[in-house]
Amino acid sequence: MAQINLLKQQSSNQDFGELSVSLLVKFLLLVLAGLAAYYLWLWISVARIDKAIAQAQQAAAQAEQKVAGVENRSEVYTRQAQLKEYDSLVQKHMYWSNFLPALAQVTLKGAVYSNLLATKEGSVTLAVTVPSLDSIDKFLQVFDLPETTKFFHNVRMGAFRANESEFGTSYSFDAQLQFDPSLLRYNDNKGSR
Amino acid sequence: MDFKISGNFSRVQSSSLSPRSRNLRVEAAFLLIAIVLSYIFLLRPKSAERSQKQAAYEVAASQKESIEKDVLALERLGADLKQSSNEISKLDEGLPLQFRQIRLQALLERLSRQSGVVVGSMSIDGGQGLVVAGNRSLLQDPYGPTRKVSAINVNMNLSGTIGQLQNFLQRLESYGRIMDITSLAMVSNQQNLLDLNLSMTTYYFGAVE
Repeated sequence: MAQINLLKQQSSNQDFGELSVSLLVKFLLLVLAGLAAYYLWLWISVARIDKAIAQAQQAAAQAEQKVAGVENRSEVYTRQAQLKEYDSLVQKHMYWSNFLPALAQVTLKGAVYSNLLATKEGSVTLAVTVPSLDSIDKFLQVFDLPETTKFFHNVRMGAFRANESEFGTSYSFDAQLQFDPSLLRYNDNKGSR
Repeated sequence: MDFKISGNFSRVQSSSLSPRSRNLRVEAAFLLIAIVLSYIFLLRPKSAERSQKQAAYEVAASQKESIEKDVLALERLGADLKQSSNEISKLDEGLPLQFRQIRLQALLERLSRQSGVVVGSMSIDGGQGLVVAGNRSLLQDPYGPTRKVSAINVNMNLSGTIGQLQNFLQRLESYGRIMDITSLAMVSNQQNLLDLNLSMTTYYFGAVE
């Protein structure tokens, strides 16, 4: 009868199982050791960062004290604000010295303004005197030209009246027109401001 | 003597673990639990804490850098200011830090004289009730108070030729002080001259009281 060594089979299977679990345990121990090392590193890192934060805050506090110690600090702030406001006002400023020459350019020769009222919103009221009835028409025709309507437009006219004088007859009327407020803006060519 | 042994030998083998094998399995289970728990309760919170601290450090470092830059800029501006007395005078001319009616009146009359127009009347509205001299707190610390832009309205009646009036307007614009004309009315008078009525606004950057 063949002899079967049952014990030997049993121990080889058990050896493999134990070996696997033993390796697993060693592996898990390594992982745990790694985690512990990682935790230690985190702990040291946090302490280092805390120190760096404290140093940065201290340096910021010292710099703020330096700000307070700058000699003419208040004057610098005041002048900065003053300059900013000044720039803002200059941007909005209107140059009326542009207006009268521009109006003169679109005015018929021989027409005389005896009254002028202009506002920065862009309206002008004129009291006009011309030497003849034809001149009234010519005065108005000028405002139909493209180069004129660039700045002056929407002319409205009141009733005209004849004025008799030793020099002859002249005609007066009121005219209301609108002008483009951009006419009052800074003109590089004129060198204003 | 022959005898038969029946049964499943593998079953007999696996059911009987050695004590060592059992211990190892228990150890493995405990280790696994320890790893998971230490990850959840120690490592993850610590890692989160580190990330937060790192973010806080970046903020603190950036603030420190910003303040240091501001200090350098302020010191440089202070030095520039000391060397810019001409520019400061012009700025004060354009937008004064205080309002004195008499100075504005004198300026407008001087410009009128220089252009040849005659001033008929002048009214200045604004700045009533202001302390115009001897303000102790302002004298001690002229740049301390908060300031704001205030407007002064001026109305003038002038007469002259069209050339003189044009000259006056140009002088008004060329002078440093900002004076915004809000309306302009011209009427011819009996002396064949023109009467000009000007409404304008000027400004000052005064201390808030």
